[in-house]
Amino acid sequence: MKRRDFFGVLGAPLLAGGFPSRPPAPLDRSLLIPMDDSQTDHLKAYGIAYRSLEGGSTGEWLLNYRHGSFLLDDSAGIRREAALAGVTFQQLSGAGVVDVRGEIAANNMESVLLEKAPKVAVYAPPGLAPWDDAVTMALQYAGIEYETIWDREVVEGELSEYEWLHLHHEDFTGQYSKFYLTYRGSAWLEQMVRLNQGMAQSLGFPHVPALKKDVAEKIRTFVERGKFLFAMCTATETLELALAASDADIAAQYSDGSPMDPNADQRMRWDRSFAFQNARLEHSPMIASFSDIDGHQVNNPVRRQQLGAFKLFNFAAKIDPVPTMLVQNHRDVIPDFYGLTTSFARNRLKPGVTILADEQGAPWVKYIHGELGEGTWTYLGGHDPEDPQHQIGDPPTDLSLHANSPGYRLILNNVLFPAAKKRELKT
Amino acid sequence: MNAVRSAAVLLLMLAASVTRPAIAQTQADPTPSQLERRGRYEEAAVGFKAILDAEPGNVTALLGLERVLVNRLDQTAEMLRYIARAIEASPLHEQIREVDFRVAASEFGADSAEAAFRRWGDAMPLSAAPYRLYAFWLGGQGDLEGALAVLDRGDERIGNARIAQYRAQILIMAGDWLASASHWRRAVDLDPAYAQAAGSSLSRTPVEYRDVILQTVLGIRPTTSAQLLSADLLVRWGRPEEGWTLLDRALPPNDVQAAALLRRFADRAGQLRTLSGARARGYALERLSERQTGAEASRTRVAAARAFADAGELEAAQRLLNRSRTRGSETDDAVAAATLIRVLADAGQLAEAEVRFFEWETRLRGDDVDDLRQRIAWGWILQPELDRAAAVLAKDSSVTGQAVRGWIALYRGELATAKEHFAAAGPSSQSREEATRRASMLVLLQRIQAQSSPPLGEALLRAARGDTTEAVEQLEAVATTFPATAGRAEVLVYAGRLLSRQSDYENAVRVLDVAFHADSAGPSAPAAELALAVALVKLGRPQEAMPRLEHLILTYQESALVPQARRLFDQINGMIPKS
Repeated sequence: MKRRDFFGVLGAPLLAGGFPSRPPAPLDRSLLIPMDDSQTDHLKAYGIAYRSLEGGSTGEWLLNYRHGSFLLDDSAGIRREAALAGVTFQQLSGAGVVDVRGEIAANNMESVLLEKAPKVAVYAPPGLAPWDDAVTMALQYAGIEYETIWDREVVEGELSEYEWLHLHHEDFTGQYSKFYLTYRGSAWLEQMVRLNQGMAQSLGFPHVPALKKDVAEKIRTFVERGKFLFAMCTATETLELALAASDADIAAQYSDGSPMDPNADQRMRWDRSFAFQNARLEHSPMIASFSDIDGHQVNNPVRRQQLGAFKLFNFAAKIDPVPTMLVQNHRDVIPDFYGLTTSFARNRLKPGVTILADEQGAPWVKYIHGELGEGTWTYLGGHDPEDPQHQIGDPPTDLSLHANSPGYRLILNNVLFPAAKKRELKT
Repeated sequence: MNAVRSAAVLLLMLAASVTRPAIAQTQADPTPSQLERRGRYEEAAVGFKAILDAEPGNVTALLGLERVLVNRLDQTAEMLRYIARAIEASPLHEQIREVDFRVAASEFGADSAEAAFRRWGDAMPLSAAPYRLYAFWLGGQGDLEGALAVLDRGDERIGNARIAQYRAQILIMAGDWLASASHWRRAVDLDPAYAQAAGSSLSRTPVEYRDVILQTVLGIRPTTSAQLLSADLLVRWGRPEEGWTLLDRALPPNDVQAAALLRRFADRAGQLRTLSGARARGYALERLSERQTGAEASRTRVAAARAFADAGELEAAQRLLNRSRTRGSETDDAVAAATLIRVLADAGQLAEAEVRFFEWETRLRGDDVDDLRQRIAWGWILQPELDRAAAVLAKDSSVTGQAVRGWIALYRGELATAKEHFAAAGPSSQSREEATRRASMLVLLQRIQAQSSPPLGEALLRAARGDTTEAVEQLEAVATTFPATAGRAEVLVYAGRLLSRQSDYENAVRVLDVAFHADSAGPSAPAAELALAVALVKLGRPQEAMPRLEHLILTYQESALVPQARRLFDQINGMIPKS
């Protein structure tokens, strides 16, 4: 998406309000956490920034300054924590801070005030180990606290207690990621089916797809009311399908007792979805693919595409601080990684969606962002940035071996982004 | 990864084949496949159509057009005339019929699928392919009963092993492993060539069904094919010795077939990397060697002997090697002799190993000579016969020989000589593990100013021989003879690590704590503190480990052990998975 299109989506509120620069700091000492190649642990650096906000301090995110560095109030506590975490930091005098501000003012950089650590919720079934989900892995590694919620909490209205919600590989079409037929008999699948069916029954839904549609609708409302949604992997695509399928049966017989509506494609209501439109559904219950939204189709032998690399867009920090925050990284080009949904077909994107990263020349994009109502959503395709071929049963990724992972940085950008303070709207 | 590679190969093949001279293209023009890859589907479709206009039966172009029109552009109707023309051009081409079926089924539903299936069957009445495609399509729709009904029709018309194979696969989709097994049995009875596919398919049987599956495959009167399939399944399921019993009974008289079966079995058993797997590999290779002659038989016997040696079956290994030495070529004899000497040394029969080594020394390969000499020397060291070990090494001028000499000197208590030998051996000779062990010992020795210390040598030798309790007692005692900042802390850290290795964490904590406080500003302090934290975690006292790790990370920031400490710190905090 071009920058001028982006204004169409976000321009009005941002131009009117935007993100404030911090008022000049008093000439005391500050702590700079650089995010360029001198940083020894990029991922934990986010945790240091987050916990400093949690402790009541404010900080600044220096967009594009040394690849998205943080400027925090200096304290012995933060220095100790950074040393324990192996995070590189520098103490800056007042004059040093002035130099930094001068460089920011003169370049495509911006300083954004980080004010309040968002309350984070991760949507995941009970018993899911943190290592099953790239975001919980990143949060855990960075030391960012989160709470796990699932269908009951969503249906009973507890979402409103959180500012940030993450979805990962949940199948919101209620078809158990369409592994039901191919992995029949596997203990993990049977447990997943039991868990979902039990939850649907206890909440008074006739079947799992009906429950998931309701959950999807409540997530939509959550965003509309000004909250932040970040989704990865198959949660992106299936959330969209569940929202658009308000009038269609898109679930296979095994999940709701009735076969998929052969005319489901025509009954989809794309005005309900966040990001996609006019997708064609995968009708075979044997193929673990949901639609042609995913460009890579990892489980569809006929249509599977090879992995390439995706490139992050370079936005104007002073004009487009939101997408700039989301793409802060010390690498522009990142190797791609598979997921049940790996990427998003360009020809299925709604107009107005901001493309944050794409594979150049390929008919798919990797990382997208947009607004709905007063809130925002961001989608990143793929399952685990450091396990490109991720297979069921693979050992968990140990992030201490990938402390400088550019892919994981994208995830953590999203966690910190809601901490940025919006200026009061000017009248 | 394999799938990805295969897909890459397939793409290359497609790209290559559609650039055949049927349609001339300039070098700069992208091929239709390249256009497709770039998402320029309309242009790709035009390219594929042009190829098909010139050559209606070009299967590669037809498949490309199908991908673009049906999967990407939603212009299925366009496809139909190209399919019709392709069928007209090559009415008996199965891939074209497959496209016809796929398009009919996926775009026009069950009736069209049935019609395409019938057209195909009428044109090629003895082909099993239409039954496969139709049955799997129905299975894919969740209509497993319909799928089985189609295969019933196939059975009536053809009734061959292929149909039985498809039925077995559909039954696995339905989760009916038992029924599937009986159809796989039928398929392999009809045509033993299906044994590989059957083994691969049934290898995924959930553990709880495996014994019943085995009974089903074998039946009341096990056929040869059924026994071979069962043997294959057993080795795939990690039960190689049971598999061997079946395989040995069912081996065909034909040497070529038997050799293929034995090799495959031996490979699978070896891949298990278990004692049982190694033993079964040994059995299979020994049997294989009996069906071979000359040098080939000798080589196989040596391989069998190695497998038996890996399994700890030293007598069997020796028996085979003794036979090998009398039958092979000179090179094969040398290989067999080296294996035999290795087996003898590992079994502790050092005197015999030494005699055979000196008998063969001039005929063995250079690498084998050094390896065997040092293996025997290490054997003597552990007896402990240090003089005899030194004598074996007398003619060894290799760098690795220097390292072994260093250990002999160390165990004699000649610390200065040991340091010289270790330094001469360098940091990278031998395996990484051995080089690390040697470097650690060199670091320890460099802190000790004494030129010799027979009690330390004796204690370290005890440790090398596995007598940890006595060794630790001696090390604690000898440590007190060194100054706190010149060896005491290092020796105690060594003792503490030995205790940890023996899972005696309580005592390890005690010794390491003393080690740490002996010289908390010295170079061994981070190592003492890390080992202490690890032992505390092992004792289930991670909260006591945390302040140790914090202290280590914050106090010894330049220590090479900080990353390990931080990793443990993160694991205790649940920030990364436990390794």
